[in-house]
Amino acid sequence: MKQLPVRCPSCSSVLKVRKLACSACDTMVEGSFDLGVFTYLSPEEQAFALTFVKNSGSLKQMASELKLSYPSVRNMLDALIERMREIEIEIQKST
Amino acid sequence: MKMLFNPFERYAGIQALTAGVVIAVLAALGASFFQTRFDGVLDAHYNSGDVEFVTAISDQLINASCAFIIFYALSVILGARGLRPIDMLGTLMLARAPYVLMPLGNVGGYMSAHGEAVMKSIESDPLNPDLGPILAMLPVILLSIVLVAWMIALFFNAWKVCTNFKGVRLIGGFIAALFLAEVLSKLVLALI
Repeated sequence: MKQLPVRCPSCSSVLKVRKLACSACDTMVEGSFDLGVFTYLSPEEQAFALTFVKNSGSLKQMASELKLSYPSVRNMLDALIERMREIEIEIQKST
Repeated sequence: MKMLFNPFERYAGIQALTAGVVIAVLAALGASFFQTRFDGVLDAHYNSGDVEFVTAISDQLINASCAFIIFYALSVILGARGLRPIDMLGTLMLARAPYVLMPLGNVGGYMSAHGEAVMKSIESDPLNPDLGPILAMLPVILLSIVLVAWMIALFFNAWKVCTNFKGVRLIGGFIAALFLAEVLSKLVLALI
């Protein structure tokens, strides 16, 4: 699967969506749309967030699934929360 | 290699606590077989006299309790979030694993006998002591230093994983916790 580019290759700022196309009838929609916070996460961070949701937010279950200790998983979650806060600020600055 | 210095990324909570209890019992057995006192969170001293198993296991209990009380209290004071007491207790007890090897330095009273020989030699001729027993003790002393450094590294990683502190809270908090835990354990052992 092709990876969606989320940052400008020239200046590294966050990218916006300017054009969308309907895959059924080829209708084009143009505008300026923000990508969601999750889109800016790395594939590893997205996988971690997905595991978190699939485990109903249970860090204990995640620790068991990832074969890591509870505090390690909690630290990874704290890092993810911090990362999402940074992305939110960056998106707000770009609008 | 990572498991030697930071097993806490994989093991904390009840698993670490169970391993920590086994380690404490093994260390106490070793201490009572080979006349060693763990009389402080960081201390290990070789005795010439017998060390009862009750004394040895009490040392382990006091050291683990003092380390836990100070490390947990400091982590709360410094603002650790979502910290579970069982993780702190378990990882700190598991971090004492290197000290299981410490009593082996005194198998057959090796270190205490050589220590006494050094003292006698110094008393009889302070300016020209016999170097033989000192040299005989050197490998065990060096091994002890390695074990102490290894245990401190494990304590540090236990603190790091449990608290998720960074910067000054990580380093300064750890130094303060280790120092205070050592002082508290010495005080408790002196009072008992």
